[in-house]
Amino acid sequence: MALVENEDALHDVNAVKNKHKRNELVKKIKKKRRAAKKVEKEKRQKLLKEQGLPLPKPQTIDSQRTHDETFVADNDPEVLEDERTDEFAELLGGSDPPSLLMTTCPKPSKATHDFVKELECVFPFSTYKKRKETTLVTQVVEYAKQQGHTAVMIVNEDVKQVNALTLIHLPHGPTLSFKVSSLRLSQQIFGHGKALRDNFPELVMNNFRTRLGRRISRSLQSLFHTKPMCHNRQVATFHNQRDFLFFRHHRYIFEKRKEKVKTGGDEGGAKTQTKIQTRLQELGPRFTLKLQTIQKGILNWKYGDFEWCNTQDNKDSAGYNRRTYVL
Amino acid sequence: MAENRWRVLVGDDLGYVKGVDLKGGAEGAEWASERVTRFTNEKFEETEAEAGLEDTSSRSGAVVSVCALPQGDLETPVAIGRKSGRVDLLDASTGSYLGPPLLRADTLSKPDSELLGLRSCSPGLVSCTSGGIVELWRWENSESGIVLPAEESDAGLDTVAATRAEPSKGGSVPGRVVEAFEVSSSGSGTDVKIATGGRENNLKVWDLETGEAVFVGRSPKPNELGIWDKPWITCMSFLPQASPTSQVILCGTANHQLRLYDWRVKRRPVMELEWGENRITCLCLDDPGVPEKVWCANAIGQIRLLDLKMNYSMTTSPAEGMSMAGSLKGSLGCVKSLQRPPDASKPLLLSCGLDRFVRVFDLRKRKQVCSVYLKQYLKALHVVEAEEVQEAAPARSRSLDDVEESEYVHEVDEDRKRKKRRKGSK
Repeated sequence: MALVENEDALHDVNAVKNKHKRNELVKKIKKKRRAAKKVEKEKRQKLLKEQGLPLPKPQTIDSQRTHDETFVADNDPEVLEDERTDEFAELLGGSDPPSLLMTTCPKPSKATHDFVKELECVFPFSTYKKRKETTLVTQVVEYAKQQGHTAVMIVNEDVKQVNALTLIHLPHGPTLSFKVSSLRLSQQIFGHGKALRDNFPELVMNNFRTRLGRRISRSLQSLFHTKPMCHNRQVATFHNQRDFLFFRHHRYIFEKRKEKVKTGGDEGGAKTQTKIQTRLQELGPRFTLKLQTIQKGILNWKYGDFEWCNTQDNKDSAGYNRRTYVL
Repeated sequence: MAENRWRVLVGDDLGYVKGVDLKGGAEGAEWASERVTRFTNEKFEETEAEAGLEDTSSRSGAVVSVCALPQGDLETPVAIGRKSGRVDLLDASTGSYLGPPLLRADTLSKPDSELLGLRSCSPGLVSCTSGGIVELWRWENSESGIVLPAEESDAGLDTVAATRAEPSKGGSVPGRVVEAFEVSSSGSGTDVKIATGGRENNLKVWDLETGEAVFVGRSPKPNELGIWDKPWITCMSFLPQASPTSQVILCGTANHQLRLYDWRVKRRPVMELEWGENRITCLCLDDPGVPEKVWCANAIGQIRLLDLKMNYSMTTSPAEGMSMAGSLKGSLGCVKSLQRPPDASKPLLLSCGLDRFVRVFDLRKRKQVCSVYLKQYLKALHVVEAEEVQEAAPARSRSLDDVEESEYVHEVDEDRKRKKRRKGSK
């Protein structure tokens, strides 16, 4: 016996006195509605396909972002001119490998140590230097300059969790500071592989469309070699979505597989065909970066000139909404 | 309110000079940029390349200052100062360069010395280098136009070499660089004062004629712990006074302080205010004739209005003397230049900076009314009045926008109609 006469009407459910029964009913009705909605959608899409019309694009926050005039067009002569003479031009134009100095905040915890250990496998030919408690960032930078490093990366932690990453390009800057979140070390990733050290991975930079995004993308690119070691089949990906940079590290393989393919006709004979298949194995770590500031020159919070920084003023300014993205 | 047309000349880090034609100000109409034009000095580029003056890798051609020549009625010629010490003359209305670039011999011999900027005063153009050399550029007004004799440009040259070895307690300290300078001149042009300052180089005011320091500023008194900040002056502005040359200077420091010096009273600042947490980069008077309100900008793009309440007396404590009275929001990065339009009655402020945008703010609404993306780090800004959008010479400048020919013609036609209408109404 149905407890309620009309099972589709949510307001009728109120007649049921028992809370648990009522909840169950509500769940049931909602499930029914969802299913009906899905069926309707499929019907609509089928109809559109039959008519040969394009399917409507899903409306996501990302696709609805506010218009940004700083989107870089392909081969914009002015942008290319700027990039020919910017701080990364020498590294990205030449064939010399970059060298990265990695260090942490003073007194790092185990979490930071583990993270740095994994980062060493991502960034080729990087060196880790333990930072003494009394060593200042300026001293770290000075040391890196003497040793001929092209960048310094400082991993910061708070309450024994990695929370920030500062990237200082040498010798002329710029300095980028990122917030680090959703960190997962390779140990925590199911079916993870082991990354090769001292390997130049291939690089995938996704979705850096604005002028600022392009600059960040160049900054990150300059940490890797321009000529990757393709035979090692490792890929590092920086994927930008809504101003968050998702980092993933993979190994790929192309495999030849024999597959049975049905050939049309009355004979019904199955043929074997070799097919090339790509498989991925995640190497780790996984983390998400969010840009906080870009500063011209070497890190100097007090006296530096900021190219972009995330202040309250920006959020208060006219035209800012939650669909405003800068990268 | 009648519609206004302005041309904003913007100099950037790569050495490009662009003209942005702004239109608006009419009732109900919004401010908008009509066109962006890049002015190139094609005629003389070859000679530059031959001389090897343009070192593109170090960006020595970066524009540091765009400044009008004090030409009396004629306001269109504009001087463009570059980091390497080169100065170009540009006709703002047509967008054509007037003659080959001018070079200073001594800047080239000293590679570490950079041009800081150019300021116009009644006798000529004043330039200052980071090495502390202040020069006065005079020119001749010949029939064909303005001729700036390159060899004789250092007529009336005044070296502020004394800043390099200033008499201090520990003896002379060489190599104190100048980071900011400002010029104040009386109408007749006889009394020109130049203020300089920089890192560990406190405010000094010089008389251009005699070449001597009129005023040497001091830091404020040390606090109760005996700590005092080393001076690091990043920007300054003379405040207009009743007397022909002003004797009150507002300074912004890298330690985010705003200091008011009055050399009639004492050597230490008469008022001081701490604002924000970043370097103060530029100052701009709210109203050129009134010394009460100053717009200040800093290295993270905050723009605030400083209210000086000029009727200060010696008794008021610094906290009471100055306060912040308004803000403009919208800049995303370090502001490099702030300027009011030539017609001071219009309540607008223009800014440009490292966020690659030229922004126009309405000072009454305290809101951004227009922004133009110019693709490079913008260093300097200058606004001139443009009555009519003149057809730029195609050989010397090219339009960056993909405006079709027909569209452009349409615009010009509209202008003419508007002009006619205006004339008819008069």
